[in-house]
Amino acid sequence: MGGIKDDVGHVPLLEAEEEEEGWRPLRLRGSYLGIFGSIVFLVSMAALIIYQGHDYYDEAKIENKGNNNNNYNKVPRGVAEGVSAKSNSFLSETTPSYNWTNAMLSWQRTAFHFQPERNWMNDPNGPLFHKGWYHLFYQYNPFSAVWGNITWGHAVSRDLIHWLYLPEAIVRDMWFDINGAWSGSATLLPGGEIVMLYTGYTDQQVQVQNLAYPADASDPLLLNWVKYAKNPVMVPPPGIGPHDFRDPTTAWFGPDNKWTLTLGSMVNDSGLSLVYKTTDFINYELNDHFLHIVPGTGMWECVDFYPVSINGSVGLDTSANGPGVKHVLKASLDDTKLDYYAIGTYFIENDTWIPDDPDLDVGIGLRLDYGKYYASKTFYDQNKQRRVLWGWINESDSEVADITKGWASLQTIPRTVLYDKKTGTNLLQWPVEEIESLRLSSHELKELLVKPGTVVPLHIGPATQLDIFVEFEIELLESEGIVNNVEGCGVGAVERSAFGPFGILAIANDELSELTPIYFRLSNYGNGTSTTTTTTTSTSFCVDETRSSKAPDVSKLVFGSKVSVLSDEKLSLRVLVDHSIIESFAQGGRTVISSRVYPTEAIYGAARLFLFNNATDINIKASLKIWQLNSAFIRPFPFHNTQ
Amino acid sequence: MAKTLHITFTITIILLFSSSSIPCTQSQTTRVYYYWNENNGVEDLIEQVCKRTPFYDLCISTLHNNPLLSPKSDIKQVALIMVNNILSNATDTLNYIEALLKHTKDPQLEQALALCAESYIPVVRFTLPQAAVAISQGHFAFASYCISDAVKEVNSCEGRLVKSPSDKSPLGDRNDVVQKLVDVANAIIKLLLKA
Repeated sequence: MGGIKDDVGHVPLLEAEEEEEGWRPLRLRGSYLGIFGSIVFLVSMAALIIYQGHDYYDEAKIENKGNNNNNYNKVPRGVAEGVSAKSNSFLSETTPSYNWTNAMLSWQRTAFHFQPERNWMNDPNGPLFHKGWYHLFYQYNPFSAVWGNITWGHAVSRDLIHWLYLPEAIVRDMWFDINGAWSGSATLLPGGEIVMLYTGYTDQQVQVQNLAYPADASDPLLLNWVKYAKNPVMVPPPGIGPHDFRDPTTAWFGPDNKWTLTLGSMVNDSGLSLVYKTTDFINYELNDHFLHIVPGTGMWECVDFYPVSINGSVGLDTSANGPGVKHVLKASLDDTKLDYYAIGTYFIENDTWIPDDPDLDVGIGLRLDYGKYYASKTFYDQNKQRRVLWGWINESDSEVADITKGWASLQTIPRTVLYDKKTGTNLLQWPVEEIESLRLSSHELKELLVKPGTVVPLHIGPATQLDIFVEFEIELLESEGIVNNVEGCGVGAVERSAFGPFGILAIANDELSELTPIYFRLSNYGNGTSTTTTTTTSTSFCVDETRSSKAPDVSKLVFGSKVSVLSDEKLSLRVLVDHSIIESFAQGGRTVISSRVYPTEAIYGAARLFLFNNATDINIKASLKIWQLNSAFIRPFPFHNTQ
Repeated sequence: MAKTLHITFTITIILLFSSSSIPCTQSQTTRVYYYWNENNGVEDLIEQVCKRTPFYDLCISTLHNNPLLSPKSDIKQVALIMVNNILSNATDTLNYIEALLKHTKDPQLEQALALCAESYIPVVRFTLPQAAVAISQGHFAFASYCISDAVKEVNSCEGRLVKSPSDKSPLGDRNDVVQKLVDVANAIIKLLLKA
């Protein structure tokens, strides 16, 4: 019966045109109108920018100095200022721009992932819980949908899901942050005070650390913030470059009665974490040795350092320590735009940290998320005693599309982080339980049989806002032991092998001309009756974006990694689908992949969900529970009554 | 004839003068309630407010003979009294839930009660106190948001304990009373918002 197309997968364009012959003249006119409209729009945008005469244009001038290319910035945004690239460099000048319609672009906006009403966002900043409210701050450009003019956006929520926008918390109005109020973290002091440390990019283009605190401690919304008059409190020390000094962490209190914090830097292409100590958050001493250093990893951005309990049941306050506690060190690598972490031991006596497994050290081992994911940060939620992880998900479409649609970037659904006590080598991430408050109706499907080379449609209604749980059982078709030495994700879900790929197709249309497979691929499958000697099985968990959209100007990669599957575990998958973002969790969150998709056809009512089995030698039996998820109705805080 | 005219005229002047001598408060609707004769002031204020809430009797019984109300009171004070009343009721209910939790042996009930407590704790610790502060500072929209939040949490507790109409809640009518009180408070704050 029908199977996955074994070719590269695109429906030939010719077919599409034939189908739509009757509409052709209208569509042509429409596309001319679209081009004309886009030109008018872009020209008026440019006029606006020139008239306002603010930094955005100046930055573009700096980057374009020396080359006459005005269509695409050859140097990605941010790099000139000394932060990691914030625009997608995969597009060449010759990639044609797709004719995005308003319907396609508005569909991309998510229903329950945090994003501001418009414009650009990047790193999550200073997350905290205070007096009944969760706070999220974020890197924000108030003027445009590309990186620049960075200030701290602010939003609050009772439950980490239903967010309300507040006015900006930290703006660029002092010499010590005039060129950017960059990332930072909050420290909650025992007396209830809140201290915020953030990186400022000064008028002299130097990265420094600044102190800020709430103007009114009794205001539950923490609307207004005061900057310490004698900022900065930390400047690049000798041996550290002015562009290699940023993103201070939450501080922890130690037996020396001092607060310790860390921030990332680099020396000779070795990424490292500097250690500072303070008693008053105004005066700091730099330790003479680093918390940790890993050669060849480049600049460490957004360093995060926190304890986890090895019995893996609750989160720990950042100051927790003792037997039964390990420490996680995490860094965002500037060079590769990937987030890495490692679990190890913190030697508090001299403030150093050593990974449990040096082969899985920071920057060379495990990643928090194997998809489009960066600049993550955790905080300790004292309300529910859990450690919660935020992560920034950038767009993978073109800058032009972002400007057209007027926004760029999302945050993940916040995830709890726990030590995986079953494997002892990794963390487990899982969406916070409050997401269940969005659940509407559900469908339960038990033991659906999917034979090799088949696709099974799942009739669950709308398929753009879903919480999907799947468990797979495998049935070997032949009793002879098959040795199958394939590893990894292959070139995507079209690549068949004995024991995979199989999984689900999300944001797919009926014709399967656009689809996003999320799948497992086993290298071998041990069977009780097999007469061969024990074969090692590795399981890969993958998301294949290669056919997620017909548009040529979006990034379409295959993401994935190995995932440990213990002998008493079934293969399990949880997927959150929310329009243009898909967050996929394998084995209870042992491996996580976040993905962006920009379909042109599989949108609104045309989006579907399927089960598929493209393996050659196994049947799979899938049991699913699928919830429709409501919108979170993220909106401005209702300060003023409407009349 | 002239006499009646004269009396009507005098009464009108008196009313006009008394209405113009109201001290300026943040809430503007309070002006409405100063038409009334000072002796009936409090009673009529309560009447005017409670008849615009979904549970008139409960509202009246809560406010009736409340020592905090005086002829100079306005809707803002009524709202404050109601919110503080809810806070003490909710605190009692939470204590009752926690006591039940210690003694119950039924695991299903234990789970339902634990989830209920999870709903009540933020309401008692943060939501209602912040609503009270907001009302006293004139931030009625924020107060309205807080009370709506409290409505949701209290309703979700009820939903966990009473699955069908024939079910009897282990909390008796405690949660039910709190639910009604927050609905009343919600209505009162909406009156403040309309000002």
